[in-house]
Amino acid sequence: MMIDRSRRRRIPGMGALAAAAVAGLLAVLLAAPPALAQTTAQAPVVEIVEEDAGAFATLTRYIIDFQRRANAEIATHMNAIERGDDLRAFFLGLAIAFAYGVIHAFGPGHGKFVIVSYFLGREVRVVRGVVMAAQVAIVHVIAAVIIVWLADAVLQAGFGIGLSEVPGVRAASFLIIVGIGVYMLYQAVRMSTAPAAGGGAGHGHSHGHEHSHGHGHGHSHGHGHSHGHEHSHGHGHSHGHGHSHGSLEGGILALAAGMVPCPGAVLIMLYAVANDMIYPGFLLVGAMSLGIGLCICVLGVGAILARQTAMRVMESSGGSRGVAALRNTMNYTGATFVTLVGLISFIAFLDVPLG
Amino acid sequence: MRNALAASLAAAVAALSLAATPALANPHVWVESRITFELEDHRVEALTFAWRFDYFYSSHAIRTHDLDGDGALGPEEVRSLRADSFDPLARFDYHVHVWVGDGRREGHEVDRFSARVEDERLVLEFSVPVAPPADPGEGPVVVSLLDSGNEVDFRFAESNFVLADGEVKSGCRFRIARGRGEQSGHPRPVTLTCGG
Repeated sequence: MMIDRSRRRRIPGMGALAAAAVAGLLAVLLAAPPALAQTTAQAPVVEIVEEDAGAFATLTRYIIDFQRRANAEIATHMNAIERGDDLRAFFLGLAIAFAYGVIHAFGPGHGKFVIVSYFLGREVRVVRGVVMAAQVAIVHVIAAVIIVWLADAVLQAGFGIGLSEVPGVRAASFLIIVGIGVYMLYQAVRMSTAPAAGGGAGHGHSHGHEHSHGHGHGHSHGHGHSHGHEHSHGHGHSHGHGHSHGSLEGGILALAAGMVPCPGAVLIMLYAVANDMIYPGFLLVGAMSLGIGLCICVLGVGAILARQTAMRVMESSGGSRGVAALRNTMNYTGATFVTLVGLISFIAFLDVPLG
Repeated sequence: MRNALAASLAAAVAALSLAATPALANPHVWVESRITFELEDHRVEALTFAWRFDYFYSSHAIRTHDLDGDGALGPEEVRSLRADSFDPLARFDYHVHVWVGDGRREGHEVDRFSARVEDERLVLEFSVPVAPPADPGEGPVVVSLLDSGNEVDFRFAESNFVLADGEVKSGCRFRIARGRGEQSGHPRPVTLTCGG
């Protein structure tokens, strides 16, 4: 079966920023795989077999195809900006860069696993997830700009080798993640072995409240709130779920997760510098990082809500032991994942010869 | 209650799984490729590849190595580019995967390396000898370009992406299909088979 599909599919052009982003995403989802084949007199006949590769492989293919086309479109629009064609090219470029960031972030890296693990292991409010995603995005942009300024040579060690190797930054990032994971583990152990951990005294209280924490001190609560059911209490039990880990810890983790710049963003920035388009390049990388941040935000908030919901459900079922067990399990799980991600990444990093 | 709890935990696991996505590719460099089968006496003696890079990588590579700024790559500039950007790929076998009837061929050598600029895009061409030459009559010759690290995405050029330099025995055919077995994970391996 010969298949000749030589049409080049492009992301449709349009003026409005939001519409362009949505249209770009729709184009990905709706478009067929890109052009593959035609033969000429010089080439042999090639049989191309299209077959169903399964949902995951198909989705992966669409994601890659989208990125390939978005990458090309961003370049096209940057060229238009360079020529001074019109402002529309710039805004359309921003929209595509944003969509590119969202899709790109679904690939490996960008700190998603660390962030999700962290939020599974910490009882925090939803807004914390949003803030942390924003922090990662901002750090991502800054890192890309700094890397371009400091280390043009970073990209010289082979396509794809040097691109992801920013030795000191990567090592520091992984070690900070390990450090935070170990700290979380330490706290998880401390909380689970504390005498009053999780209502182990048998008083059967439940929390489920979204109290504000992040005020940076390890207090124990003496608030006697009542939940309208079987008990009220004013005893000083210890919660062990994140009151003492507010913005500082999250900020450090966001820094660690975002400080390894995305090679794609670095390449765009390099292109911008090479063509004297520093400010447009900066904004394009910013839009891309915003997209990455949105992806992280959705996953992080999802993890926070999942934990909160699980705790509420367990609390309302009235099982204090179950609440304690669930809380401890999540604390340990989140801490272990964060530690392992950092550790495994660092070990893998040591094994990779630097270009 | 238990259902809700299970749903919450399932959501957490799903979020973690989605966050992990290790199998998803995350390329940053985009290559359009062309493969030429070099044949002598109906046997494949070498494979020649042409790689055309995306604008962003091309811009960086050209800017880095076009030292005289003339928009082209002279011999010394090509040598510099090869040393900095191409030779380090040796440890990945240049992302070239070859199987012949008797098994996988690894440890590729590269000859006839060249680099040029076409329409502001970097184009590399190089050959990988197949030694000993592979007779497709004795078993399929399978060639695939794949970066298992997912940093580089290879896609065929829009036309003439498989070429044959030399006579292909009658009854032989080229086929592109999703890899299976040893080629599992290779989205587009090219197979040259004769008979059967």
